Amino acid sequence: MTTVVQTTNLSKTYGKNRGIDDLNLQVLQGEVFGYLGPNGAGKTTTIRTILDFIRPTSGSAQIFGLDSRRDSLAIHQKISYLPGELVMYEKMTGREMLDYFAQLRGNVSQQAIKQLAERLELDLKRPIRMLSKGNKQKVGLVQAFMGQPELLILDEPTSGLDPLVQQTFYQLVLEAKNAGRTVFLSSHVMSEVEHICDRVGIIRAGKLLAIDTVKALKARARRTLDLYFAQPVEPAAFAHIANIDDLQVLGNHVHCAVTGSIDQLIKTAAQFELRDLVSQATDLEDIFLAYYKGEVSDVA
Amino acid sequence: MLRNIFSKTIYERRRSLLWWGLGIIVLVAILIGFYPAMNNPETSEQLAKAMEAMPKEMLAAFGVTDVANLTTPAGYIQGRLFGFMLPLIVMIFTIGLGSRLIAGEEEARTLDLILAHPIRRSTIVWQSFAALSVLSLAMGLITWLSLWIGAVLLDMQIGAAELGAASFNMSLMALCFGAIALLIGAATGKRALSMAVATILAVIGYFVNSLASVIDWLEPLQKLSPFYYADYNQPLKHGFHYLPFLVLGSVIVLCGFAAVKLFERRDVAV
Repeated sequence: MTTVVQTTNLSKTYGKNRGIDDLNLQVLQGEVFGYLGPNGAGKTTTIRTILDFIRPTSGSAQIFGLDSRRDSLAIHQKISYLPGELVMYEKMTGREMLDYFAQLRGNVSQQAIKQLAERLELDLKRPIRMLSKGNKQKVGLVQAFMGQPELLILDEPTSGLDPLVQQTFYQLVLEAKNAGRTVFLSSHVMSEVEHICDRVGIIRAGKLLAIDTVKALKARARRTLDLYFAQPVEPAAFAHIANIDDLQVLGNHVHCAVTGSIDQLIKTAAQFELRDLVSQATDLEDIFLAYYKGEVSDVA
Repeated sequence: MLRNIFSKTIYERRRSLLWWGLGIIVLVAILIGFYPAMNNPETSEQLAKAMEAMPKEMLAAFGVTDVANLTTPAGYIQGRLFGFMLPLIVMIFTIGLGSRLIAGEEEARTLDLILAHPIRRSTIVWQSFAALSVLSLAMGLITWLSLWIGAVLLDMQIGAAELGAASFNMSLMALCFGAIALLIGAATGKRALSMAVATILAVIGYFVNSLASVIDWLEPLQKLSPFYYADYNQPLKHGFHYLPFLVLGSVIVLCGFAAVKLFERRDVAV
């Protein structure tokens, strides 16, 4: 697998408590990478550093093996970008705006613009200032997809989109992926990342907390378990298990939360006669919240 | 129309140019229209007397340096139009535009999308400078044409070449302050700051130049003022001179190079 984006000890500090700290992340060719974190975590800072809008305080970023600073022109020829805070020229129509971007990019067919606008049900004749937030976002999406770039960098791409359009967006991402393109998208909504991403990086307060496949992250998730035994059990029997917390023992009912492997818990429980076991299915949202709160601290 | 930053800027400013141009035409029409009344020997004598009674410093501050001359076509057009009103209008336009082109886009957050495209930062700066230059010179062209038509209609004894030289010098000087605004905007990303600094420099430049003839200690500073070059060798009397073109042109080009250097090395829209 070819690496498309590689950051090496990338740091950016400005002001107080902002920016990113010693970030090492890798995005592979042909994957959809989800960059997750709460607002202000450093997602946009990472993206804007990769795009050479802002310069790293230390460390570096390589895109397609090229240096983000020195070779930004060559890099920009192969990428498209959708800003998180999309602002366009209010007086221009959608068509004028897209024509302008197409000219700046080069190699964009009118057909591509037309098709994307139709799929997203976007009226190109209206001036930008007359468009709702969702419709402005559609112009931004057409702009990002029309040039068929090798890497799409999308900052909070679904913000303002209604659910139906979101589905169309997911399809577009999937098509790009199937065509061998790479998609780097940031979000603070777990469910959409879980839906379309192959791998996820979680960032909080400028630090990368975890980076892994959705499946692996789920395997390391914190889940709650309820165990029902034939006889009452002593809390002490479970106290030695390192990766459990929130342990409550009520007679023959044991409730606890497990982070990561449940192996040790099950082996301990197997010493007693076990009547029933209920495991709460975790979704990524819980993992995500756990990382947010700082409950999980291991870095993959 | 929307091929690049240069043509897009021109296209986007077309209405603004039209309105400012209309302002110039109206101003020129009104002031040229008053010329025959001024040219009447009786009035001019009264005016000359009234002027002589006024303090020289005050007259200088209003751009009137040669009282006796106010009744000749060149003196009238210089005193009433090029001395103050025309540069004021054109400079509001150029400084406004200069601060808008990079800093304005940056503050509005439209610059991000442009920067993400395969386009060098230096290209953004140079195309912005080119658009600013063309639009400033277009203001000069409008000034020239409206003055020339006015002069022909009223049979004023002044040539197209002289009017053209003065209009060109003025638009070049206004462009100079627009270029300073663009430079500061490119260097800082702050629109209000770039507008304020360019405006303050223009005000200082204006007073240094106009008061230098009456305040001794200002005299050595006069050659630093772009206004000095706009009126160098009295273009309304002697036509085109290479020096203002050379000096003002160099300042504008230097602003361009400095803007490229400073814009390339900084963080955008932090």
